[in-house]
Amino acid sequence: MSPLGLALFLAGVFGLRMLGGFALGGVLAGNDRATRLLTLLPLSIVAAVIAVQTFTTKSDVVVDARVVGIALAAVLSWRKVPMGVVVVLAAAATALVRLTGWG
Amino acid sequence: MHAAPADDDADPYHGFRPMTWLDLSTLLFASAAIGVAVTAIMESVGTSWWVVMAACTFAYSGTGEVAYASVIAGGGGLTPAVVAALLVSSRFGLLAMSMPGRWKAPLWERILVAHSASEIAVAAAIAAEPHGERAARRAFWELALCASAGWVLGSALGLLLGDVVGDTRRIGLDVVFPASFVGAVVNGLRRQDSSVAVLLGAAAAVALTPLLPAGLPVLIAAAASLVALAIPPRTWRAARTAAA
Repeated sequence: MSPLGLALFLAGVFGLRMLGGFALGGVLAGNDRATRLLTLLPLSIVAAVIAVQTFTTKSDVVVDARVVGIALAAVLSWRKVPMGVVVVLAAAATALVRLTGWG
Repeated sequence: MHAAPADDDADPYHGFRPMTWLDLSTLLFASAAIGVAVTAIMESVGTSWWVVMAACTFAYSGTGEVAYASVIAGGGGLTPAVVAALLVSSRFGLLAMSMPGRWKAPLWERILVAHSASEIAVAAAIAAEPHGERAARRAFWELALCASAGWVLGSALGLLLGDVVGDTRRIGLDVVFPASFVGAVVNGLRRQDSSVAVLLGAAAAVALTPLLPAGLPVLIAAAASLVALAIPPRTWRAARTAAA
């Protein structure tokens, strides 16, 4: 990343955040339906980020050892295991599956 | 809207617990691991150390950095690299948008909240909200401070270590980032409307990934929450009781 690239990257990301936090966030505040939407919206985004990081590599859909780690994380989280333990076991499960030579 | 009726499984996110020291230190470690990995990618396209540090501290978008570096590594120019990085980071605008009004905050705090509204901090604030504004604020800052501290320290560590770490996939570090969000999403599965937001969002993002440039699938998948808005906001258990 060049200094010019850095400047554009920083300005752009900061701009996107402030646009969301001030211009758009203010418009929607105080409306019940909008409030519900803004609680559902992050869930869709977070689920999408997890899915993309679990099932894709570059622009291909790939099923590999990551699926085992994330599936384990989902089961443990459902059973309310603390996040710290979930993350460590998910990484360990993924590493173990890779030791067997798959994914 | 925080005073939930007593009969409905009143706390839709059943039994939210504040972060323990174990959770926070693992999050610190996980964020640091991501920082190390992203720094290695940035250095591989010839980024100088101060640019790495400025990018991780002030942009606070690891996926944006990776997107930028992968365009450059693929022979692309400055403009497509910046566009890719901003596209991938556009979700942070939506995450920042979902934060105002969750607690009363002065201007400086609102700016910092918008700047540090990562997936994990926003999800934690929303999960804590049934416990009141103070719980939401505490949950947000716990996660935001811990994750950003780990991320900046990890990026710095990556500069010092160089490529000592080797293949981070071998030890499963590539699932650390997504696994740390899974708890928030799984909590969403306890309710009908948020289940649709989660499952439809995940499916749409994966289905669109082969078709669109990086970043756009997640942005479009965010629209799953509009569909979820049409579903009643009740738990599966309450729905079963109502049907019986």
